[in-house]
Formats: sequence, structure tokens, C-alpha cells
Amino acid sequence: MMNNRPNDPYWRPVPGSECLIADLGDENPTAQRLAQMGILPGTRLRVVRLAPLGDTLEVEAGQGELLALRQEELDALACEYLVLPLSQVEKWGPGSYRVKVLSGGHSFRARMEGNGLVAGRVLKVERPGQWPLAVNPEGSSRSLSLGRGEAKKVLVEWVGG
Amino acid sequence: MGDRQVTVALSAIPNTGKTTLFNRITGASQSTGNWPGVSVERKSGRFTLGEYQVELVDLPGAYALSPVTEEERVVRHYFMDDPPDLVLNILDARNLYRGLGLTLQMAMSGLPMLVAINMMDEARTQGLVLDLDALSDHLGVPVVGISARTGEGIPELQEALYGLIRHPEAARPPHVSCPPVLEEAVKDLARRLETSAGVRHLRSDFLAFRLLETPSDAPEEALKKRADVWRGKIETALRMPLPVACARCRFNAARGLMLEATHQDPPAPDARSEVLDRIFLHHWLGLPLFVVVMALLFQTIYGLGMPLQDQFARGFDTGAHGVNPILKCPLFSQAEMSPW
Ligand SMILES: Nc1nc2c(ncn2[C@@H]2O[C@H](COP(=O)(O)OP(=O)(O)O)[C@@H](O)[C@H]2O)c(=O)[nH]1
Ligand SMILES: [Mg+2]
Repeated sequence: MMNNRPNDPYWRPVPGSECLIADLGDENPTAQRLAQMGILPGTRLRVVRLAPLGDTLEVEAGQGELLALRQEELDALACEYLVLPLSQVEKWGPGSYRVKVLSGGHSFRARMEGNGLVAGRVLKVERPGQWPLAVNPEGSSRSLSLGRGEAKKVLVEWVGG
Repeated sequence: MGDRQVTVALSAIPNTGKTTLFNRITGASQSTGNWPGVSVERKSGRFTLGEYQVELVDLPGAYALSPVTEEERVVRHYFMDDPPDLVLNILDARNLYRGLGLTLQMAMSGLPMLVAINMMDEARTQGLVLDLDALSDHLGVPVVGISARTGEGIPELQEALYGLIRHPEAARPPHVSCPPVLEEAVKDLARRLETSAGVRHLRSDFLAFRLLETPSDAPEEALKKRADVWRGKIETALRMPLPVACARCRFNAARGLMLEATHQDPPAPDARSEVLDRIFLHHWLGLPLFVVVMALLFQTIYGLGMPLQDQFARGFDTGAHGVNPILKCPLFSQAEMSPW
């Protein structure tokens, strides 16, 4: 099973991250419990928010049902990431990425939008993992340079190589 | 009146409003204890329904009859060893999908069953429209919409319950389709279970599923072996653990039912609680807010409580003067010394 979790062991999913449950594993108690709740392979999970002390995540599954999962429980599921912050896509490699959500404050979003970085826009990223990160919004001739902190707030999905 | 005894089991996945409904229909006549051998609370209550004395058993919240959690084991044993006369299953109107897995399992037992769709008030606020007739047709059991919190639909629920007690009709569960190898196993084991001794009023395919989940519970060695072999075959063919394979067919049926019975878009969390959540569950603001709320609560209790406490103390002192002479009489001084 491909594990496409970001390499950084300290990385924690942020609100907006999404993954697809690929395999529940044989002996995994969380997986067994989730299966009995109807959360089965093929279900898409989206992190809604983090609990105040960080170790618990509120996750939306499938048809909008909300559930709480601990960080270790989520890690134990073979959940293939589909949406990640642009700061964590090194494993996915160079290619096209679609912007899903911009998190962060108003001024950050306004600045990104001013540069053509809006939800739904496809970006070309040639060297993920190299800072500052050069991104090219499709249909714009200008290239944009993002710092690590900025890239953290741009959630993207993989489109293709 | 009330001379005929009926046991009704209240079953639902956690957070469906089981306790709220239980309190509403049993009122003050409740008793609590533990399920044998485990530290899971057993609550039951009584009420009368026409000429019937109904004992309502509040089953622990469980997602399935497959023995994963302790609660699920309790519910499973209760069903297998000492089945109720009737099942009252509750679903959350806002999320039929998650609860229907258990509903389908229960319906397959063949026990007479009534389904109450709770939280109708919330569903309405969210603009959800439920087709209760379609649900009833597919599940093969009567379905009533209620709100355990506001009391809406409770008289209708009691009426439906009364009707079902008087004419206990076995549930006519839908056929939940599973991969061929699983269906074949269930058919084979069910046939064998029918010819062996055992609980008569549970359907044999229901029992076959339970046997596949825990072959060690088989009534005889030969059946245990057979169930073990089938389980191995199924897990190899489907490349997943048996409980997951069973959950898959159940929830495929559940999804279909939900889509047919719920109209409008996927249930959206309501705006007001979403706003409150955003404030109180804020990543770093949440805990300080919690502390502030608790401090306010503490202040309120003591601020209001102290003056009242003084009043009470004065009252007790006055009362004690009156009671003292009685306590001094010999009978009471002796009672004081006895071990209890
Ligand atoms: N809006 C609404 N809330 C309800 C209703 N019934 C129960 N609740 C709430 O749902 C939550 C869970 O209820 P509870 O009875 O503890 O569920 P249990 O876990 O199934 O026993 C509580 O906050 C209840 O107040 C209802 O009909 N409408
Ligand atoms: Mg409860």
C-alpha cells in the first residue's frame, strides 16, 4: 500500500486536509470500529478542526457525518492523502496542483487572490520541497514565490505530472 | 390492568437520543444495575400500555452486533441468549446512514420491531424531508417520526408500539446483498442451524451471520469447524476481514435506503451551532474560554449559594431543637450504636 503521508514525522494534518481510506488493515481496532460505523474503504475523510489540545481531530466522513479521531488512529488507517498543504507535497513531485482552499486571514487570502491564486485554479509546481517555492498559476505568465509559512496555508490536490 | 408482561429493548447507536426517549416514556419508574459480568450499566424502566405492563430495557449504545466493543458484546449476548419480545430501534433523522447498519442487523433477527426516527425537530430546521413510508416499506417494519426532546410524535409512537404488541408481526427485513461467497456461506450455515437445536424465534440467516463472526459460539463442534472453514474462504476470496466484508454489504444497503428516504442535499451542520463551535472549539481560544465559563459557573454557585446556605443553617438549627428530645429516648440511642 502506498503511504503518501508527508515525510516530516512531526507533520500533523491541518483543517482542510483530505484522505481516502484505502485499506482498513486486518488487526487494526480503529479500522474495525470505523467499519462498524459504515466508514469503509473508499470513504473520503476531511479534517474539519483540531481540538484545543491538538491530539484529537474532528473529521468529516463521506456524507457529512462528523466524528472525532485521535492522531494515532488516523495515522494507523491506511488513508491516502488527497489534499495537503502546498508545504507538504514533496512526495507527490513536480506537476500540476489544484488549489482547494486558502486558509489564513483575510489579508493573506486577498494577497494570494490578487496573484491569481484562487480556489479551483491549477498551479504548476516544478520543484516542490524547495524554498522559496516557485508556483505558476495556469493562464498567468507570472511566477509566484511562496515562503514555507505561506505554502502551509494553501491546500491543494494533485492533478497530474 | 397491566397484568400482561412484555419486554421491549431500546436499541440505537450512541447519541441518537436513546436516554432522552427512555426518560420520556418511563418517567420516574426506572432501575439501574449492571449487565452480568461487565461494568456496563443496565437500565430498565416500566410503563403501562393499555392492558400491558411494558418493561423497557435501555441497551448500551452499540454500532453493531459484531463483538468489537464491550457494549456490542453485551447487546449481542442479550439478543442471542435472552431476546426481548420486541425491539424499539431509534435512528437519527439527520444521519440515517450511520444508524441503519444496526437497524438492518436487528431487522434481520426477525423479532417484531418498530423504528422511531428521532430528532425530527432538528431535521426540519435543516430542511430535510424524510420519506418514512419508503423506509417502512424497505425495512419491513413500522416507522414513526418523533422528537424525544420536544415530545412530538410520542403518542403516535406509543400507539404503534401498542399495535405491534397486540399483533406482533415478525420483521420482514430486506435482503441485504453480499458477495456470492458470503451469501453461500450464510445459506449453508443457516440450513445447518435450522436442523440443529437452538433459539427458535431468531431467523436462521441472522444466526448464521453471528456464527461466522464468532465460530467459537457454535452450539456443536461440527458447526464450529464449518463456520471456521467458511470464514477462511471468505477472507481469502474477498481479501478483507469478515466483519469488514459484512459491514460493507450492510452499509451498501444503508446508503441506498438513506438516499431514497432523505431528500435535500447532504445534511449540513446547522449554522448556529457551527458558529458556536468555531468559537468554543477554537484551536487556542477554546481552553481559555472553557476556564472562563467554569469560573463564572463557580462564582454563580457560591455567590448565590452562600446566602441560601446561611438561611438553611438557621432552619436546621431551629429544627434540631425540636428533634433533640426524641433522639435522646433510649430506643434511638441504641439504634445509633447498631452496626448499620
Ligand atoms: N434536537 C433534538 N435533540 C435531541 C433529541 N433527542 C435527544 N436529543 C439530544 O441528543 C443528545 C444525545 O441524547 P441522548 O439521549 O443522551 O442519546 P443516547 O446516547 O442515545 O442515550 C442530547 O444532547 C439530547 O438532548 C430530539 O428529539 N431533538
Ligand atoms: Mg445514553
